[in-house]
Amino acid sequence: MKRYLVTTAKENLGHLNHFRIKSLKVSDEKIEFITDGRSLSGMEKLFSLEYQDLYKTKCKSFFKKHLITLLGTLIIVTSLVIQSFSVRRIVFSDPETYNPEVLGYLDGRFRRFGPFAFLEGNLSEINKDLRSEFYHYEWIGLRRKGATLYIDIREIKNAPQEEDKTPGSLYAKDSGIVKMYHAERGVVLAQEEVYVEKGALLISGEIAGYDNRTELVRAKGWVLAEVLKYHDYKILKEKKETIRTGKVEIKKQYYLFSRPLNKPSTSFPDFESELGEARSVGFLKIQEIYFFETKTVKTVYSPEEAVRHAKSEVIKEFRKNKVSPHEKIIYNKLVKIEFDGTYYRIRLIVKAERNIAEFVPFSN
Amino acid sequence: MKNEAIKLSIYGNKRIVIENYRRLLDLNEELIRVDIYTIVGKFLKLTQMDSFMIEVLGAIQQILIEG
Repeated sequence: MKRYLVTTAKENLGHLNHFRIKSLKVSDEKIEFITDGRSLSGMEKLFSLEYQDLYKTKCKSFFKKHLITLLGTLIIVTSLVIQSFSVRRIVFSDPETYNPEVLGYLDGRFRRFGPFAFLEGNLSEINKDLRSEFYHYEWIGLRRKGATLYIDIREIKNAPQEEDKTPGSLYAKDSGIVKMYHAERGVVLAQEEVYVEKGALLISGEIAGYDNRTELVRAKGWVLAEVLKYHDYKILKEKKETIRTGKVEIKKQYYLFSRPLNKPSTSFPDFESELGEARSVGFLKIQEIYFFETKTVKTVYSPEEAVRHAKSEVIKEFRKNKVSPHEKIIYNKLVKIEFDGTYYRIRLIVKAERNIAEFVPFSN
Repeated sequence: MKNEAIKLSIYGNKRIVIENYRRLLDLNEELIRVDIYTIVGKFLKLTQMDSFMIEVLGAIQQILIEG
C-alpha cells in the first residue's frame, strides 16, 4: 500500500477526523502526517494540501545518501563478473604441444569487447568441437583457471618404427618450389627457391668416397616445397549409415551339453550383437551377449556442405602425411562443383608447403 | 459504531487509546483535545488515528473530562 507524507494548514485539523493517519505532528502553522492513498483522495476533496509519495522520497534520499557506495558495489560486481567470465590469457599446459592452428580456431570462438574476450558457448561444447576439429590428437581439451584458459593436448606417440636399411634415394613425388629441406642421411641435391619437377632426385643415397668408391645408404630427410595441385572429389549427395546409439543391453544365454536353453532377446528395435565372455560350470555354459542399439542416419549434403566435406578431406590427408611442423596449407579453394543427380563432383585447388620427398630404393 | 459510547484507555501514563471518538478538536505538544477529553502532558504525539480510534503517546500528566 502506498503511503504519503501530507502537509496542510493547522486550521484543517478538524477535517482529519476518522481518516487513517499516522505520526501527526503540529508546528506553528502547519500539520504534517502520514496517510494512505484512499484517505488522501478523501482529504483532497475537503481541503487543500501538499503531499509526497513516501516510497519515492525514501528511494531518492537512499540513492542520494548511498550513491558512492552503490556505484562502488556496482563496479566491483561488474569487475568480478568480467573477471570470472573473461579470458585474458591462453596457455598450452605443455609448451611442447604448442599449435598455432588451435589458437586460430579458438580465436573464432571468442567475442571481444575492447580488452575483454569472452568465450562464445560453454566450455564443454567448445571442447567437443575442438575434439572433432583436431581429431588427430589423442586428447585435446580446455579448462579455465581464473582468467587463464589452459589447452591440454596429448599427442599420439607411436613406438618408433624399426629403421629400414634398404638403400635408396628421395625423389620428388610432386612438382613445386623448394622452400626448406632437412637431411639426416644422404647427399642433398635440392636447393631452396628452385623449382623441381615430379621425379627429380632430391636427396641421394649414393655417397662418393675419397677413393672414387661409392657407398649406398638409405637417404633420410624431408623437402618442403610450395605445391599447387588440383584435388577432385566425388561425394554422394544422400548417404545412409547405421550407427550405434551408445545404449547396450547385456543378456546371458545358457547351454546344457552345448544345447541352448533360452533365447535372449532385446528391447531394441534395431541392434547389433556381439558375443562376450563365456563361463562353464560342469555341463552348463553361460555365454554373455551384448546387444548394441543401432539407428540409421541419413545424411543429405547441400552443395556448401559437400564443399566443406571435400575441403576437410584435403586437410585430413595433409595432416596424415605431415612430417614437419613447418608444413602448412596456404589456400584451399573451390574451382568448380557439378551435380549429376547422385554425386557432387568437386574440384579444389590447394596450395601448400608440404613434404614432396618420396623414398625410392636402388634397383639392382 | 457512532452510537457507541466514547471510551478512553490509559496504559502506564505513557499511552492513551480513545475509541469511538467523534472529533479531534485541538493538538499540540502539551495538550490534545478529543470530544470531552483534554489530555495534558509533555511531548504528546498523535501516533495513530483512524475512523474508530486515536492513539496518543507521551508523558501524560492529567486527563480533564468536560462535564
